[in-house]
Amino acid sequence: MRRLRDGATIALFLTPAFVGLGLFHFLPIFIALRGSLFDLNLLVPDRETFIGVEHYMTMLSDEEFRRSLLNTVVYTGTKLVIQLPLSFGLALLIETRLRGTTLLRSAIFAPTVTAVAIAAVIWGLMYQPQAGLINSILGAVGIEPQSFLTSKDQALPSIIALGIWQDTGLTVLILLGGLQGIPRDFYEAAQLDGASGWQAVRHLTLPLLRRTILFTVVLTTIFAFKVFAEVKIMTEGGPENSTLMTVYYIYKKAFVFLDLGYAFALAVVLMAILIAIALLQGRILRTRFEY
Amino acid sequence: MLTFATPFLWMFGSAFKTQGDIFAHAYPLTWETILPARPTLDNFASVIFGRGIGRNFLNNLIVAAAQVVLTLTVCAMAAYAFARLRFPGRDALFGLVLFAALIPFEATMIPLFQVMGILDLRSTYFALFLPWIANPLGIFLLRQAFLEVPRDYEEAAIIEGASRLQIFWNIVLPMSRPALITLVLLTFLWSWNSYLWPLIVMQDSSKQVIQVAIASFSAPEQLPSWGDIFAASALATVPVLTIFLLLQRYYVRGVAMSGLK
Repeated sequence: MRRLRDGATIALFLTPAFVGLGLFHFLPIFIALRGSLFDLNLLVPDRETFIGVEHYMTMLSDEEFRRSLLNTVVYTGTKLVIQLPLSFGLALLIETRLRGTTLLRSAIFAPTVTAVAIAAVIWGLMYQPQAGLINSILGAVGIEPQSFLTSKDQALPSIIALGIWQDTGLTVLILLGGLQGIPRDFYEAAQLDGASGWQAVRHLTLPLLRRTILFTVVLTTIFAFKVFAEVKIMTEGGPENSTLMTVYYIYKKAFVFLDLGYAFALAVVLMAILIAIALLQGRILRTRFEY
Repeated sequence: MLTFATPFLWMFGSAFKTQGDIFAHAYPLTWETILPARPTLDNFASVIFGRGIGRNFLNNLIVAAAQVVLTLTVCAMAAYAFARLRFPGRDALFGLVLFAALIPFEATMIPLFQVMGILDLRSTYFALFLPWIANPLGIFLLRQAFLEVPRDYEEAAIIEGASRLQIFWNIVLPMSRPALITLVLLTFLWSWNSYLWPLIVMQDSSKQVIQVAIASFSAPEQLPSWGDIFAASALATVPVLTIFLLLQRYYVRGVAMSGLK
C-alpha cells in the first residue's frame, strides 16, 4: 500500500520539474540541432529548406564570427589574468578580519548583485568622453580625456574593466570559502617552523587552494563567454567590431538579420564550447568538497 | 574599496541632481561631481510619471514573486523525491538534471524563443518566468539540504502514520529553511536582474522589465537625459541591495555552493 502511494507521490513530485526541464531545457537543444541544418528566416516563418551542414561551413569562413570568438577569448583571458590575482589578494585581506574589512566586503559584493544591464548603463555614462566620471578622475591626476567606448583600442579594455568590477565579488566569495576550509593548525605549524607570511601563502595556502582556484578559473571563463549586456548596451559590437562577442553575434544574426538557421548553428557551437568547459567544472566540483 | 563603491555613489548622488547640475559639475572633479549640492526629486518624478517606470518596476515584482514561489515549489518537490524516495531510474533522472545544469541559457535562447512561439506565450508574463522554474541548480541545492535531514525523524513520523506529503511539509521543509532562503534569494536576484531574455521575448513595452526599459531610454540614439537614467537605475538597484544586505550570509552560502550569482 505504502509502495503504491509512494509511486503516486514520486510521479506527482517529479512531473512539474521534468515537464519544465523537457520543454525549456532539452527541447531547445533539439530545435537548435535540427534548425541548424535548415535555411530559416524569422521573416518567412513557414519556409524551411534543408541545407545540411552549410551553416557550419559558412561559419569557417565567417570573418565576423571569427572576430567575435577572438574578442571573447581576449576578453576572457584578460579578465582572468587581472581578476583572479586581485580576488586572491582581496580574499586574503578580508580573511585577516582587520577593522574595515566588513565594509570592504560589502563594497566588493554589491556590484555582483547589481543587474548587469544597470551596471552597463551607468558605466556607459562613466565612460562618456565629456561629462563622464572617469575622465573627471583622470583629469584630477593630470591625464588627458580619453574616448573609451568610441575608440577601437580602448572599447574592449573598457568593457573588461566593467566586467572585473562586477564579478570580482563573486570570485572573492568563492576563494574566501576555500580559505576558510583550510585548518588553522596548518598556519600555526608553519609559524612555528619560522615561515614568513608570504612563505605561508606561497607554500601552504596556494597549494591547498588549488581546487578552489581551478573552480574559480572555470567559472570565470564560463561567465566571460556569456558576456552580452555590456556589448549590447555600451557599444553594439563596435567600433569596427572591436567589441563584437559571440553571444551578441548570435543575438544579432537572429534578431537583427533574422537569419534563424545560422543563429541556431552558432548557438550549437557555443553550446559545445560551454558544455566542454562546464564538464571540466563538473569534474572539479565532484572533488571539491573532499577536504 | 572606493573603486567598487564609486559608481554607486555617483549613481545615487546624481539621481538627486538636476540635469544642469550634472553637467555643470562634471569637470573638473570636485565633491559636487559625485554628490548633489542642491538635492531634488525631479528626476524620480520624471521617470515615474513621465516614463512610467513604476509600471516596469511593478512588472519586475510580479515576475520575481511568481518565479520565486514556483521555483521553490517545483524544485523542492523534485529534490524531495531525489533525496528521500527510492525508485527505479532515480540516478539516471538525476543525471539528466545535472546535465540540464550544464546547458548555458545563452546557447539556447534562440530555440527557447521558438518554444515560446509554439506555446503561444511570447510577450506574456509567463514567458518571463516559466522557463526558469524547473531550475536544475535549485533542485541540486535543495537535494543536498534534504539529504542532511536525519532519517530518524522521518522513520518516527512513518510509524506515527504520517504520509509522505506530511513528512515533506512538516519535517523536511522546516528543517531545511536556510537552503530554502538561499534559493529564494538567488532566484529573486536572478529574476530581478535579468535582461537578455526579457529583451528577446517581451515585445509589449507595458509588460517589460525595468532593466530593459532603462537600457532602451539610455540608448545612444536617444536624447541624453542623464537625470532620468540615474533615478531609474537607483530605483531598480535599491531592492537588490537592500535584500542582499539583509540576507548576505545566505547569498554567500549559495554562491559558495553553486557558483551561481
